[in-house]
Amino acid sequence: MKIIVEAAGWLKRFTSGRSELELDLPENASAIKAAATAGIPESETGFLIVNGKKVDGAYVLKDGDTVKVYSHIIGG
Amino acid sequence: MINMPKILKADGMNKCIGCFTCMLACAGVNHQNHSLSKSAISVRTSGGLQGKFVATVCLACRDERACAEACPSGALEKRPGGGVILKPEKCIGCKKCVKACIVSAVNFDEDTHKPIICKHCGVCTKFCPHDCLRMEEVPNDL
Amino acid sequence: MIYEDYVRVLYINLSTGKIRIEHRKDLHEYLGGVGVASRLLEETVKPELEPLDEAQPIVFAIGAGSTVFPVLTKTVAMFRSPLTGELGESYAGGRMAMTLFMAGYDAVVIQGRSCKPVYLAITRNDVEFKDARALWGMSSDEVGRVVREREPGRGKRSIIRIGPAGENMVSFASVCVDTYRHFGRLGLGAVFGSKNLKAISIVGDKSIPVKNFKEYFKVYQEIYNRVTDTEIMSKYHDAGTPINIEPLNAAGALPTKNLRQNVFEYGDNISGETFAQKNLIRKMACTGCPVGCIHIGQFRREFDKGHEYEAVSESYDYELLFSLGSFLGTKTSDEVLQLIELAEHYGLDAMSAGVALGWATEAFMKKLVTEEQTLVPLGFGKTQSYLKAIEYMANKRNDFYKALSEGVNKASDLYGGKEFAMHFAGNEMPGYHTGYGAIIGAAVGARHSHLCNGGYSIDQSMKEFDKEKLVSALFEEEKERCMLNSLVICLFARKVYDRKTILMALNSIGYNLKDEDLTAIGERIYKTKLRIKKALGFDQMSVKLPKRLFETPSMMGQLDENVAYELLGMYNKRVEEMMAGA
Repeated sequence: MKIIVEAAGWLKRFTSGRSELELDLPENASAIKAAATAGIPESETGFLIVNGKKVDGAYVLKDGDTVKVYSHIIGG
Repeated sequence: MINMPKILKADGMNKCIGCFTCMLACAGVNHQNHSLSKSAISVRTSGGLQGKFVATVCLACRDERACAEACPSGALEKRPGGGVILKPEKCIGCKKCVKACIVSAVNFDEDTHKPIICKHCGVCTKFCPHDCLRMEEVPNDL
Repeated sequence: MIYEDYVRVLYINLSTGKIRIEHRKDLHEYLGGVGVASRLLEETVKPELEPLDEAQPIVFAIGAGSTVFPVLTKTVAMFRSPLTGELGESYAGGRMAMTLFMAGYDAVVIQGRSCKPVYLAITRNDVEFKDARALWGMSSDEVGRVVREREPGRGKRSIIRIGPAGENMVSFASVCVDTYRHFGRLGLGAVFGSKNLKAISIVGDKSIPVKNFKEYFKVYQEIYNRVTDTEIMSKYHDAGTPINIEPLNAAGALPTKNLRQNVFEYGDNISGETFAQKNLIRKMACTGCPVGCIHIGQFRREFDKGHEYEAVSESYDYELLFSLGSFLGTKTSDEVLQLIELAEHYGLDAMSAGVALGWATEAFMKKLVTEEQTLVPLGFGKTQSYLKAIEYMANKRNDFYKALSEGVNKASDLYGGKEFAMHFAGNEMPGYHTGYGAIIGAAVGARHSHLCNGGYSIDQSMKEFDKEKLVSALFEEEKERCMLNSLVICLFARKVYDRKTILMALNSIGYNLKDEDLTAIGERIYKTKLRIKKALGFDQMSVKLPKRLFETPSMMGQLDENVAYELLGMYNKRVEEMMAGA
């Protein structure tokens, strides 16, 4: 199924600078799998937003979903 | 293959973030001291933190070295490639070299009573996180 | 003192104009920073007197490894907070730690009150009390310039100063450190003002020979490489903390319009990316830190007709984009910078100022106060009104703004609207509505900050909500940060400075400590802070949480007030057990 992964801000360093990637993933792939396939390490994956809503890594994706990946909240 | 001498170039100061790590490294390596006042390279603002950072470094003068000319006791010898080398045993601590340097790059160590002369050793360039400093190969002029 | 077994404390008496120096061997086991400062505060604070009484102290302290290792850049200030009435603890970077270190002081205790406005000039050989009468009334920017021009020590100097808000003793007035950093929270600026202390200039150029150079420099290099080569810290330099706006907004954790909402419809306009594209002009560092997380944004302002422009530059960080941005419904990055500029000009804590204005706006909307009191029509997104309101708060213009200048807790006591006065035990809220971790963390944190124990971070990483686990995590992190803040680390580097690295660094400069020692130090410091809080009248169990926290959904969904109070009780039990086991 076709999944779009958007890498927010600083995370673009893992996707060769691209803010949007189109991936072809097996059925029932999870949100965290999509992020990983796009090249974003799990340790840097903070938030996963699918179709405007925050989801867990294990969330099962449907064909045509967009997964936006953000890094952890950084605070100091 | 003969190694060409190198000199310090501080020509990337537009990128400087003012972290002072170069100064801490110079003082540490060259003087085994934690204090910034021992550093040969000086980074400061051009008037308050709203202004740019500027670096005062030894420019490795060739031909005429004003500091060496001003020294009455021959404590500053010409360094191959430019600049000078301090011979501390000949130095009397008169500070004439400090005044003579046209870009004010000679700092003075009030504790040892000797000038702080840049060795162009390159340690500061290794500790700049932003590529503001570099070493450049130059022909030997001596 | 580095390489010594004592802490070198400089005592300054503003009433008598005298100083004294003590070498405190008994403080050595507190390592430095918040450890040493807590003990000094415990000794000198007067619980029976008001926070702004002249007998109250201001304590500054640097850490065991300040300046000699990368990113150990901060100074801690401890005092009795005029905002909360109890423990005041605040951190700032800039150049202060480096200059104190090179001037040869580990801690400074300031007591008394000068009869005339004064600024202090501290160097390694002298402490001068200088006439500041003509400086009284100046913005922190102007006074910084004057002191810079009058005092020697260019390049090796730190200048900390207050603006008019501090002079007027606004309860959340801040102290500006080297233009772009601050002791922001809990009102240190007001304490300065109450002592007629306008500024402090510190110049450090002492010779401090390195002992054991080979071992020390090996450790220095290793830490430096870890800080600069790895990904760990580059995100702080990239777009900086402002990058948080987008994910927090998408996750429903961004406090918006006095927390009436948890999502901001204009979030993209004030996101870190937008600031980076439109306003960012340079990045800077605190001295001793190769990361450079200070982001400076610029906007162009037309100050008069006929194309009369000026360029205004301000430092911006996530918390300011929340408090003066989403919390007030501010729609553009330029306007946020404008609000930051004015808060800076007067010397107000940007976080508390924004949250105070948020409450005032809702109070105005709900007609608890009228325009006769607010003087301008307050409304979310109405930047021009907020600019005026900031000025009125800083100057305590009328009874309403005088009350507001004491914080939302006291203002809502007088005018109502306690349910939407967003504070934790008197300290205005930080920018995270992530769940129970953020709320409990700020309520129990020794200085009521999200940084005491990183509650918001625990909310993010906890897979399944577990009460016991949350309370434990907060408790352990609170103690751990007491130890980290005695070094004094910049918390951005907490992933680089794991226990192994800390021990390696401290051992190379003569602190023969083991892992258990670090744990013991953390607990020792936490107990000290809790004793101070108790002596100053703080009671954890009487903390009331504003109802708005449970009305607006958080990132974790709707929160239950009963659960929150249950968690507070559980945390308090852990504290009591620890104190009993003393």
